[in-house]
Amino acid sequence: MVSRTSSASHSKTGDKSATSHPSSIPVCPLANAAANGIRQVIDSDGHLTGDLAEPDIPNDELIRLYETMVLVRAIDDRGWMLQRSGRVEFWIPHRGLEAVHNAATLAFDAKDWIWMGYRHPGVMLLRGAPLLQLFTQFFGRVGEPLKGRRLPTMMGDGRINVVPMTTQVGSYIPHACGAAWGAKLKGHDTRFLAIFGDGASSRGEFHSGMNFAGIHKPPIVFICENNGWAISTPQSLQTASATFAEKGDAYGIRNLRVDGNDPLAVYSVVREARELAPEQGASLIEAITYRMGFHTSSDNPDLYRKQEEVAIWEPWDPLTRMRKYLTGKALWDDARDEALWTRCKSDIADAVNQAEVLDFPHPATMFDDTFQDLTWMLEEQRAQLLADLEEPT
Amino acid sequence: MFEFLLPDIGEGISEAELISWSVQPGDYVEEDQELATISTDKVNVELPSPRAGTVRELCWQPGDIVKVGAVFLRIETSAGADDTSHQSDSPGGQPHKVASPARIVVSPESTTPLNRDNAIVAAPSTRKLAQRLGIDLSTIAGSGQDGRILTRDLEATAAASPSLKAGSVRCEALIGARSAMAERMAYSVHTLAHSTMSFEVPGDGLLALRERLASAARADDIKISMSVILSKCVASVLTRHGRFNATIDEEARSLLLHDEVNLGLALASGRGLSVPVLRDVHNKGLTELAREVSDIVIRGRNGQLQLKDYRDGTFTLSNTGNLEQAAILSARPVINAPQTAILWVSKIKTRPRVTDDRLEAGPMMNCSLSFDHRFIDGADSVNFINELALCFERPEQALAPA
Amino acid sequence: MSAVSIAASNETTVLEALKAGMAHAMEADPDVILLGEDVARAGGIFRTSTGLFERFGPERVIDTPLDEKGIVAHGVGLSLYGLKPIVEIQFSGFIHDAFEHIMFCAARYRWSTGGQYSCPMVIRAPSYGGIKGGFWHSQSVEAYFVHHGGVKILCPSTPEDAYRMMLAAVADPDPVLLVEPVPLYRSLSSSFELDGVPAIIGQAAVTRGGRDVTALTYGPIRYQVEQAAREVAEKSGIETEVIDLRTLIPYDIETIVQSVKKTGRVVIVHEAPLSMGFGAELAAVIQEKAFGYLHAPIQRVAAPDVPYHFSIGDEHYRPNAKRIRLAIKRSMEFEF
Repeated sequence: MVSRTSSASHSKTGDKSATSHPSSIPVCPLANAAANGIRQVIDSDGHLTGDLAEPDIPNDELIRLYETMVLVRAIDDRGWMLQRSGRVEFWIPHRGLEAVHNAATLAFDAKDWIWMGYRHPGVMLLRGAPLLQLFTQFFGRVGEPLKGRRLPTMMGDGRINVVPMTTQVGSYIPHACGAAWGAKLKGHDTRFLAIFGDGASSRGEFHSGMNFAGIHKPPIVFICENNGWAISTPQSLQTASATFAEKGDAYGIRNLRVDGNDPLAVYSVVREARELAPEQGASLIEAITYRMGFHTSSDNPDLYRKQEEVAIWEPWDPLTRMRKYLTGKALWDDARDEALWTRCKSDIADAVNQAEVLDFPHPATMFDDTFQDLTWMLEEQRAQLLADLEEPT
Repeated sequence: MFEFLLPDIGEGISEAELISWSVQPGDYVEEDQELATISTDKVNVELPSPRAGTVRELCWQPGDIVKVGAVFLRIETSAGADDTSHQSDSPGGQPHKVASPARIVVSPESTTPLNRDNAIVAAPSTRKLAQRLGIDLSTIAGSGQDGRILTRDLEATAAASPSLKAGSVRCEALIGARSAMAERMAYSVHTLAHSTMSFEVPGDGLLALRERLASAARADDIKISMSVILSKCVASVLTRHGRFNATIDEEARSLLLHDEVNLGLALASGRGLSVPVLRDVHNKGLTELAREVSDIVIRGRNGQLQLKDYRDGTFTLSNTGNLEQAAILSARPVINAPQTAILWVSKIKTRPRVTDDRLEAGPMMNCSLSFDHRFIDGADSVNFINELALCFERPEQALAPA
Repeated sequence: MSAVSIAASNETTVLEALKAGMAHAMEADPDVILLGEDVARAGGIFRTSTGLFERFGPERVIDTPLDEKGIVAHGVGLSLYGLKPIVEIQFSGFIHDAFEHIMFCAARYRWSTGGQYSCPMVIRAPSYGGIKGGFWHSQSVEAYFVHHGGVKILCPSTPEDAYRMMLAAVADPDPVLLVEPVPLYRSLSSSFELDGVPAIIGQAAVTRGGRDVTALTYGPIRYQVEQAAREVAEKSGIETEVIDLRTLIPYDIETIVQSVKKTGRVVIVHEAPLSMGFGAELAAVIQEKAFGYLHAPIQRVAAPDVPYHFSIGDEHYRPNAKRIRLAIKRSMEFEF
């Protein structure tokens, strides 16, 4: 794979990588998981060396999980290219983050509600959204439920109980908590999952959500996907807390840290948290992972981090680990892997070709869904817009 | 031929420097294959190809600064048909990546200096009225503040050129004061129960009083007109007949009886009928009243009467004496709502009459009193008229020293 | 006293009307819940919800932490799940922390999810001056929320409006900001049927008829406008038509235009500051729809673009009858 974090030698950008860095390049914390209080099932070779037991997941589900993770990676590769070649407006890479959201989604039931972030297309895929729907959303075209209104990757679909996220990171933490609280008040068994990043935890909404959750104990699992960076802000500048998980202590919420590149470990702790939710209320799970790619297609990581630091995470690539684990269980092999990749790329190519020629929404549709019924003000504005469109010049 | 326009690869960059090409003309490229490396102020990037095909033309040299949206290179695709990146045929599907905006240059000839002399100042409603009347505002001098054209300026124009329509029909638009009067007349007639009693009085006393006042006056004293004398008479009688000095509250369906006599004087002005109000007539002397009437008449002529000049009237007096040549016997005056009654009087003219059982010729004044029969009955009217007639006959006695 | 049983209405105060509205809505629909600071055991700092906790219990009348952002944001979440939360912001001056969740979340979920999710919630904002509150407790904030769409805004100025608008707000499928008139809570009462009939959103009321000038207003300042109208009628014979807008979004354009076409003169009065306030929108749309009927420039009487002063604000910051009267006269004196 072409690395997109190449530190260019060109004089224009060469100086920028000399930005001061708060700490020296560490060893990957996943290498000393136990010592770092990070729950783990498998090591970098897929061996069952961790403190957590191998979870009881049926083989076909394990394979479905891995296949989705690969598809998610393939989507990222393609999405990046589409953006750079000017075919998609914007891309938010998710390379390296395949384990957390896929494993967590697997741990939840179809009727449960999930608030995902923008690096989590697997949530949609695992719950059955077609690839075409995702690419239609990326291209902003007609044919997917969000009607082209959102930036690419800011997805969701109420039909599969995935709530389209608000773009302001973290702002949906209390929304998810409120909804979970609502389910509890109504006596429903619906459970809730909200995935957000390390940066989001600094926002006031994190405090509000954790505080209410501690008091009212709604059936929700919060995952703080700590991928090391909020754009250019490393963890050390985001908080003085040693971990994000321990912030839960301040609110009376059970919390733990998990290897975010170990899908089996993520599955285990999330499933457990989901099961405990009715009795114990909310859990805060910090998933340790790493954002291998840019923040977005408008970013330049060379300004704030070194390639060597990224490189230490390569051996802990979630796809590699999962593939090795499956191979070790005789559920997988190289031929199947190659076939999978080919199939993924082909399916994606089809979806791109189909989505790219779909219509853009008509301007009149901008006015729908503002209120349940349009006000006269909106009716007039729409009528004027349409009338102006009709004019030849 | 596919034209690859340089995309905005990162939120609002406007240009990029071409560092190097990764392909040559004649090369066959796959979709997503690397074409070139470019550098922006944000980052260096490799550009992948949006299409598969044969490279035909590289449009730039390494080191060139290329604007976003410019044709970067050309690829001959198997599709063959002309094709540009980011082309869309759907409505509203404009590529929103625009090259840096063209500078707007203001050419000296295109600026129009603001010419104060040419500015037309008029309220929106005045402009609309002008349009309706077919009046060109630029031909009118405004009499309002800052040269503002007022509706009375339009009315003056309309009156001066009555032929607003071609042909043998002249149009008099119902505008301004006339329009308001039309509305009030219609309202009054449709709402009040008009009943009219006519009577006549000998005018000897009135004529004599006017004569006496005139001869006693100094040269520079204000002239006491018949209208002023009549006003004083009417006011004094009104203080004893409250239902005639009252206004109607239609909503409450009741009569408001007023202590003060505020007498409306019907005047003919250039703008039509106007009824300015003399306040507290009963408590004012003839001279003071005469001054007020004079002031009102002058202001009325100059169109300077204001809203407050028309308010709070409790009774109206209409004296057409100055206008009469024909002998008008009676009238059916329309009550000035919300008042309850109105008195019309004629010019004092010599007519046959019976005095002390003898037939003779003498000055007589004809009067007609309209009253609202919902609140005032016939007996009230007769009583009122009796006193009024007495007062007109012997004004000297009736007028208390003011 | 059992606070929920209103004295078989001789008269109901604005406060009692708000409470009766909430009680009725909560009785009729188990999904309606009330949350806010001090609303449960204490019955709200104004005692607007006294008795509701005892009647409906801790799962429906909920004391929240001191966190306006959190109150509204969790209200958003509850409404997404299908409940109908009424959230109280103790004073509208504290609402700013929750702005994002009102305007960018509650007001946006329906649109940004293509209609899949929506937020049927009510945000109660006790507002307005006349209580010696200074800018923390008396500032008008409703003008922030009229821009950008997505939230309906109701401004009751009578007890009956308070009752019926509360019902309408709860019933509405979209977020509603209910701007409550604090200075009228106890000082204004009237007699009407507590019959559960909601107000019609988007309807203004002509509270005084007149032919000379149209005065547009909303909220408690309406009574100052009516005072001014009486004064100019008495002193100068000017007949002012006073219109209480009652709803800001959506506002009743038909009633407004009909009046302006009759009078040709407009005076707009609001307690919120002048520049770019709601009056600016009205002025724009009036000249758009009734341009040819205007005899005079549209006047606005409002607070200055400064914070609400504590000691002299109630008299000099808010529009008062004299300033309104002078504006009416200025309008009338303009020659056309």
